[in-house]
Amino acid sequence: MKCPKCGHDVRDSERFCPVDQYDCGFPNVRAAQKHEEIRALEERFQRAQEFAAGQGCSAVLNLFQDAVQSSQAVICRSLSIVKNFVSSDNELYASFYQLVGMEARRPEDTSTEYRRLVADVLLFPYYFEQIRFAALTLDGRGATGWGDCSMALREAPIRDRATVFEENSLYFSERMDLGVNRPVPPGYRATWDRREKLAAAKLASFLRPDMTPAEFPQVILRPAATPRGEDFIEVHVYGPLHRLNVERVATRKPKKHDRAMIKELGRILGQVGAALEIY
Amino acid sequence: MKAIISGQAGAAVLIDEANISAVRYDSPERTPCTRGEIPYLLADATDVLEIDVATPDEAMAALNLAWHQDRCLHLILILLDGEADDEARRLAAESLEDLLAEPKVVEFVFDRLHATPLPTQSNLVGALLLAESARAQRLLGFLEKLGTDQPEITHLRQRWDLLPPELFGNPAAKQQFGRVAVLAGAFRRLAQAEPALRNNVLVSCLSDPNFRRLPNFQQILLAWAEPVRITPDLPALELEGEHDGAAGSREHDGSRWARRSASIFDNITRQKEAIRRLISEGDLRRCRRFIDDLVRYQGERSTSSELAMSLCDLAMHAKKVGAHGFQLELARRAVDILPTDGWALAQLGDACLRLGQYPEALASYETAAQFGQEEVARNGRAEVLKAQGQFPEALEEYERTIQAFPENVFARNGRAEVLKAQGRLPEALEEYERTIQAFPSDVFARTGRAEVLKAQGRLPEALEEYERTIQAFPSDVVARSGRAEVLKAQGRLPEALEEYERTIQASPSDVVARNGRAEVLKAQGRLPEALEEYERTIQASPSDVVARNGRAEVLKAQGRLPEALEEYERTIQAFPSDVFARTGRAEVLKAQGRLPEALKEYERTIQAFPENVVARSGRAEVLKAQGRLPEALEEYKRAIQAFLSDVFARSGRAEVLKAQARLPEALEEYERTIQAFPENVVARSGRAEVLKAQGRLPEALEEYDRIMQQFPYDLVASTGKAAIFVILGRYEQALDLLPVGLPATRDDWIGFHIRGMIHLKKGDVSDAIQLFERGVRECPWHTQTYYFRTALGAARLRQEEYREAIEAIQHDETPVCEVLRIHAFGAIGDRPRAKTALQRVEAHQMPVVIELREELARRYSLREPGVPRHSEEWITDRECDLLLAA
Repeated sequence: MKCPKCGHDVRDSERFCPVDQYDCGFPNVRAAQKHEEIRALEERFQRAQEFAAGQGCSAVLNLFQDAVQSSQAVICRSLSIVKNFVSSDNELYASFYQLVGMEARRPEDTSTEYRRLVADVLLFPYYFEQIRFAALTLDGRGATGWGDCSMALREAPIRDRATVFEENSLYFSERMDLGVNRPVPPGYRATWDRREKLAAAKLASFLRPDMTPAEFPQVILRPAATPRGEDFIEVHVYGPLHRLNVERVATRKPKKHDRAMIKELGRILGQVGAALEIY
Repeated sequence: MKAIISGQAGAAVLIDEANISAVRYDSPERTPCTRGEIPYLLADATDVLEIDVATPDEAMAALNLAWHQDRCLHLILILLDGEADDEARRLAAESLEDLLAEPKVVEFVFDRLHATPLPTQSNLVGALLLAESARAQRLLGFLEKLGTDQPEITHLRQRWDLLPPELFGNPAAKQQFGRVAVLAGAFRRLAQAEPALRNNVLVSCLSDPNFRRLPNFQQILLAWAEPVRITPDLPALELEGEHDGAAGSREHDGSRWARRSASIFDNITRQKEAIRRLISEGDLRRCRRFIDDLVRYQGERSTSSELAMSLCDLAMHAKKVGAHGFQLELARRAVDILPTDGWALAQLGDACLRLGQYPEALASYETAAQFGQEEVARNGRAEVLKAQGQFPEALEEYERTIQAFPENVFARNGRAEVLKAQGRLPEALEEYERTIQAFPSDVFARTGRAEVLKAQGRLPEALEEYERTIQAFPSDVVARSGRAEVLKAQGRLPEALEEYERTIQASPSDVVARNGRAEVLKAQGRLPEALEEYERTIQASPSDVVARNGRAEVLKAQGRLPEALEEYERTIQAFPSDVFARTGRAEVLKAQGRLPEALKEYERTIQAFPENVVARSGRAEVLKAQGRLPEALEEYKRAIQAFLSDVFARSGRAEVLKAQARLPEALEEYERTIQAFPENVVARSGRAEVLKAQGRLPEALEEYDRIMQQFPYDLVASTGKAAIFVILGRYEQALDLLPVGLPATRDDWIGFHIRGMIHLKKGDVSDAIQLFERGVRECPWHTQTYYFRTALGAARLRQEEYREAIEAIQHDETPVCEVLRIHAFGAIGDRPRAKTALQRVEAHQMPVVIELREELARRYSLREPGVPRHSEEWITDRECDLLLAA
């Protein structure tokens, strides 16, 4: 693209113009705003609408879209990781857990190679490190295969920097056999404010005429016994997340050694205006 | 088989040739997964380990251990967190007792907790108490060990931090080395090793492969652990854990007992430090929790007397930061613990005194005397009497104390202070000088002497005394702040600022210096900077009431009267016994023109604080503003009688006399005041104003020139001089003295008014009217809007818009307005009303009032038929002079 201010070339992966540092927008959002993406998604959406009409599900599809407009991004992590995240400004945690305990031994530091990198290179060329992955939810629960605690994010701080993708991008790249000569096809991503179209395009075939809104959460995020089986619309958020991004945390009833942590988690979330739900 | 494990994620991935599966901590069932899913499973975990395992069970065991280690660390941090929920901490204590059964878990957590000392937020004492009540012996042992190790942890950490990054290559490499040192248990082992065994730890680290792969590891380890190396002639090293039988055990037990006692003392000390910090921050809710824990902990481990002393120490800190309510709470608690502790009773007396609870203070001091604290009690009693304004009784008490305890320097200084409060400054000075001679190392006597000299207006000598004191006691902040105050009183504001800034640099937490700096900035007219300084002080010391009042005053000076009022009201709520906030609030109400409310506030304050002269003078000022001049005069008379050394009551009285047009008496009062307080700029400006009102313009100019030479920042003098220039028609000279830009402060608005008068005198009447109307609309000071209204009235008269002139001044009943009314009513032919106005100023003695009164009476034949002697232009010109001179 050209920088809107100085006209210099700005690469797809760059957020700021290299010449005048003008903020040209988040790369993932710009990618979803490309003409071919919007057009391809629109075509899929229209096909989905036709399909729904044929199945007598037009009304349900409309209701589904309305519901998705209030959907949230949710990240699932273990209780330990969530507690650490929300304790980011606690002096004790800074001294002993984050600073010292940060052995910086992340999954990427092991010797195992990951297929994931292929999807990330294709979807987020040169800016993968900036992307945080979440799932779309209607009931605050996420893909708990990745962690017991579902952190639902507030919309306002991510609205302008989040995009949605058809499914788990790793599975998508495997399923579509993406690679250097097979790029990501258009029509499978959308900006945050058009997420209901993507959801409709993907999930219209899962709707029934007698379906009620209470069943929609299980349509948009279909849980399964194994992680591989969990299907969801993936959310890509550009940039770091802060504990103030969290609106609520949902988690299962705690076992013995978790009770203290859950209690304390509730207190800390309360301090930042977030809620804790135990189910 | 390879296993990738994370205790944080509670998950592991098993990689066995072609098969990859995942397990979770709470479920042994293996689920297939792909390599690509590993980052999802372990996302955001920072403790990922890759190990070789023979069987899935081995992997599961490693995962369980990692999970327990991580969980234990979380729970320990919750238990130690002073902010954490009590129930959460209790649950943590229960869980930890189970988790700490595994030595590898203990080692893991200890390794991390030995990396750095516990931060001030932590409540180790509270954690110990919870462990005790949960009967969690392992946990108790763990915490006690952690407490015992704190001094050594601090020492090691300091040594580590001082190692230059260049030794490692760069800061990132130092950080990496540090992580390795923590994970290898180097911090823990060095902190916990007996001095004789530390060499073993060092040798072990030097041969540890984790260190050996790091550059320059030998030099780094030796530089870090160097001071704990033993000298060659000590006995052979023991291996860790060995001892040589009964004697060795006894010695070991003895040193263990000593270490345990030291540990208890350290825990108490640390808890008290945390409490002090919380008091300074104003976080009283958390403070009380820490205090409850301290009381329970220390109560079981030391005597009641020692516990009471701890609480008294904390009460003194609360006093130091101005948290007098909390000071009382702590002192009461100390007395509850040991009702026969004389020192605690004396502390209680002091706290009651600070809060104005005088009968309670006296009772406490009385009881303190009965329990062995006679000297302190006597001094305290004298202080109470002084605070109550019973100066003769206070003096007597101090004199009795001095007789009984001649070495009691506090009593001597106290006596001097009472004499100063009584206005008996020469005697106060004498007392301080005697004390200095007898106790040359007592700094209070020296600063006290300097203060008396300052009160006497002998500023150069006061400065000299402060400078001598600073030389003898360079770190005495009171002397430095005192010096700065004298410089400020002398108008040497840049030097005053410099002194405060030096003091702040040496003592960054000294609120007196910070507040002093803010005041100087305010005096220089640098109001935004003054506000910023006050706000910084309030943030650092929320219980400092002086900063709060200071902030309110700056807001008031900026014309932000509603915000100033709000600040005062908040301060009154938080500090109900603070008299400055109350008088400050009254002043703002007065500035807003809410005179009945201002009067009520002053009257309430006088009732609560009868010895406060500011409230009395303030009440007099409000009465004056309401036009109740005889009552105002009476109030000032009472104030002067009660407070001989108060310069403001005298100046205030002179102002009322001037308002009554009793100009010779007003001048006399100012001149007496100047003689007694030669450095007081208010009295000198007042004298210049009276001379101006008397038409003695050259003398008035001379006085203003003298003031401006000594006090170049004094805007009252510069605007006063400008007004005289306008009367004399020297408009350019007047403009040079006036503030430029949009008006914001009170002085800005005064300058704005004078600009309008220049327009009016030059005949630019529309410009003048525009300016005056703006002043009426926008000026936040009630007293200043009066000047704009009268000026508007005069401008309308000039335009021959007589009814508009009458309307502009319809609510004001001053002599100036009566003169304008004579003109307006006379011009429209309303002779009865013109006569009424004339009668009201018949006895007025101000020369320009007399001139105008007589001319207007002649012009409109208000007494007998008359012939005007001057032109209409002369009248309007003199009306302008009246406005500028009044």
